[in-house]
Amino acid sequence: MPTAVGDATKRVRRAADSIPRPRLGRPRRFLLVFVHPMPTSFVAALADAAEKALLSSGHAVRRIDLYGEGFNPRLSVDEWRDRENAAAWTEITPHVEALRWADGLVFVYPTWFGSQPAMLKGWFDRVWAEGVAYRLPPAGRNNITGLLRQIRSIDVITTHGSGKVMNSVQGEPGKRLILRGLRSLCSWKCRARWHAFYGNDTATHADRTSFLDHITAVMGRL
Amino acid sequence: MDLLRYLVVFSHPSSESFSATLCRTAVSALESSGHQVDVIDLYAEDFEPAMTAAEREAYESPAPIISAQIERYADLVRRAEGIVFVYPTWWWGLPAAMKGWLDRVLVPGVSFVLDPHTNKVKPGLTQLRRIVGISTYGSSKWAMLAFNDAGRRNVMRCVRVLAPPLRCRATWLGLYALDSSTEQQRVDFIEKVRTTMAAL
Repeated sequence: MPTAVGDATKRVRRAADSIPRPRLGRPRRFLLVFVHPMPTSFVAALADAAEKALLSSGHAVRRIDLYGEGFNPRLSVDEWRDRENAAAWTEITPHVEALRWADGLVFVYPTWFGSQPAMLKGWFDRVWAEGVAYRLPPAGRNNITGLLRQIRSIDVITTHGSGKVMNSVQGEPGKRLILRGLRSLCSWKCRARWHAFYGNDTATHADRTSFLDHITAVMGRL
Repeated sequence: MDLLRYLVVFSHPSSESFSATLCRTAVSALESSGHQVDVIDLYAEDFEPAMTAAEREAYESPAPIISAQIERYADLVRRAEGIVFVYPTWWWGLPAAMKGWLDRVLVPGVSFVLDPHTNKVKPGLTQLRRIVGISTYGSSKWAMLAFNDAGRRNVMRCVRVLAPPLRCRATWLGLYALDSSTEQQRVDFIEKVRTTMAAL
């Protein structure tokens, strides 16, 4: 049993002892993917708030810190040639296992240049591989079959430097990639929610604090 | 027709791939019509896609570029009058290497400036006249329409808003459903890339 799960379970028990469950429902398993080079950033604070809120509702949480573990986001040429056995690459095996374990995904990252940082895009490129996230169609057809049908919810928590208007002009590629694209590989009933903080460049401390409270509230309701 | 200075950015792990053929076709077509062409092959040049903590800290400072490799790329961007992106679409978006190139190279002072009073983005690619995207897709065109082409938006909108709106034109060339395509369709697409790029 990997220690991450053991620790998470212990934390869940501790939290469940001290705090009354806010609502009925079975505890769920969340995979939280955190992406930011600095552990002291606002995005890191958002990840902490989300994790704490989920734990206090009695859910199990596994947290992946891509920068913290020095994940290599570049799909290598060998991996590209041998796509159908990608899940066997030892470097990504723990990620694949976590993805199969989870029934809910939480992404916490800053939006850079309209979409996910390269670190997170590389995690999609490498970990959401053939045999893990999808199965190829029979010859002559193009539509892949999703394999992550146990995933019932996707929550994206992100910050944008520029405001909503600028982001609309840019077309929000990052938002579409997850809410339309990746969601299609998960459960048919998967709920995908977008919690975005626009205008970080011009925001005040009070704006950020109130967004943190908002995240604690919405994640606590899951 | 004006002769321009083009920058071709290419991202694919293999130099024997179909994307690599498209890149070579585009470069030779541009050169044959007399344009000056610089090529960046992100995999061959061992480009690290992830922005580092030191770079993130320097991002909002007056000197956001801290490595020689990024400085060289930024110089090419400042001089380019046309940028051509050649990549395979992975998960509806740019490969991580290409996305990392946007993250790390198109920083304040290169592609935009943050207005010191309002802290809002002002376009900085004032010399840019042409943006071209060339990509291959596993999905069909209908699937890309339904799920949305995030990579294309990243290039055609997120980069383009930083260029002068009326002077900079954008062109998109995509080959859909690559896995089930016939040899003839691929040859036709290479020809289409050649004629389009030669006519720029």
